[in-house]
Amino acid sequence: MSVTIKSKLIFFALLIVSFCFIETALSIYAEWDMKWYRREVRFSDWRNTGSLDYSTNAMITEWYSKKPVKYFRIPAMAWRENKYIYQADINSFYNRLNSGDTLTVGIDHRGNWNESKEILCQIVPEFFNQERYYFLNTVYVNEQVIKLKVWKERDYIRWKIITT
Amino acid sequence: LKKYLPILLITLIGAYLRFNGLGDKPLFVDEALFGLWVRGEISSQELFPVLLLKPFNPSNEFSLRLIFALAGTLTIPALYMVIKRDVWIKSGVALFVAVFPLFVFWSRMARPYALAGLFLVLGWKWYAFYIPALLTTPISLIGIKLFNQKWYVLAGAFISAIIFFLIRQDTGENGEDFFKYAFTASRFYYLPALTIILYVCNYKK
Repeated sequence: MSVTIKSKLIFFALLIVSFCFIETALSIYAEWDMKWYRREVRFSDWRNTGSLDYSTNAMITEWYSKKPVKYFRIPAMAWRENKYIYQADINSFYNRLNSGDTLTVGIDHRGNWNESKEILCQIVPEFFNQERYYFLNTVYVNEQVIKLKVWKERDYIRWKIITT
Repeated sequence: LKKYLPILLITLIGAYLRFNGLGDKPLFVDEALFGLWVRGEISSQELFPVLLLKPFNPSNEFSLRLIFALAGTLTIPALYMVIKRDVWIKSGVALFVAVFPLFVFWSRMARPYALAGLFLVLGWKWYAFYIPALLTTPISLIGIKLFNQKWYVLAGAFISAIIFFLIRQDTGENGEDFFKYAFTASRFYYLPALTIILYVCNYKK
């Protein structure tokens, strides 16, 4: 191989490597996007939510809080979690509300998944008007978690955002 | 020292990208599942890393991800050692693996791919490393060096991967989701990409 071709090859190789380095270095703190090598990974910051009764992302909640938590979604299991011990037991949620319990619910970007959204629409329909829905999506994109307090008062379900 | 200076520098670049802010991001759902296996009930899936981490009882993101970032970093000198080409090609391949986003991103996650990748590269020289690789993730099957490095082995590896995904395909209503996921998820390309690098670089006419 001649020296000119070799030097050109080295130049292009260094160009590709530099591009990769910059792309990788910038991606460390980047928010979620559709980049091909990380689009299936979405982070949500559950570190300060503490223990909860129900969560849209039960496994992460349990890891951080070290306490068992139930899935906040209808019982349609995702294929990756169908062998795991967690069961979506949303009937117990309504039973506990009816018996007068005040429950804490953690919602992350999975609140936008149909399995959780279906329940969320019934409990906090206000979230889904245009203005609030924008707020909800902003929270998800910023990797935040909404912590709700839910209780029942005279046949109506009441809720309050504790933290975001 | 002069002989090993290039690979040392490349490894340092790779280490910087893998360890910089390693514990800053919160856990991703699959990492949490892995963390729960380490903490509690052992699963047959990802058995090797679970058993490896169990005595250390990792309590934060950094400690849970550390072993995988280390494995991803060590893959760089391991490749350099295993590839039998001149120093320029070996260094070029090592540098590519050190900075390529796919390899860096999955080395920074508490997922088994970087660890299995290290074992696959080492298995190219010492077959015994295929055992921990397979106990880390069954996708390692794709990287096992079968015969001489011929084109049909590479083609065979691709066909095996497709068969593997078809076998793993769940039955029932979520089956379609899995099939779609298996081909679009970047994690499933980590080990095949390393395998292709090994085959291409060690190709003999």
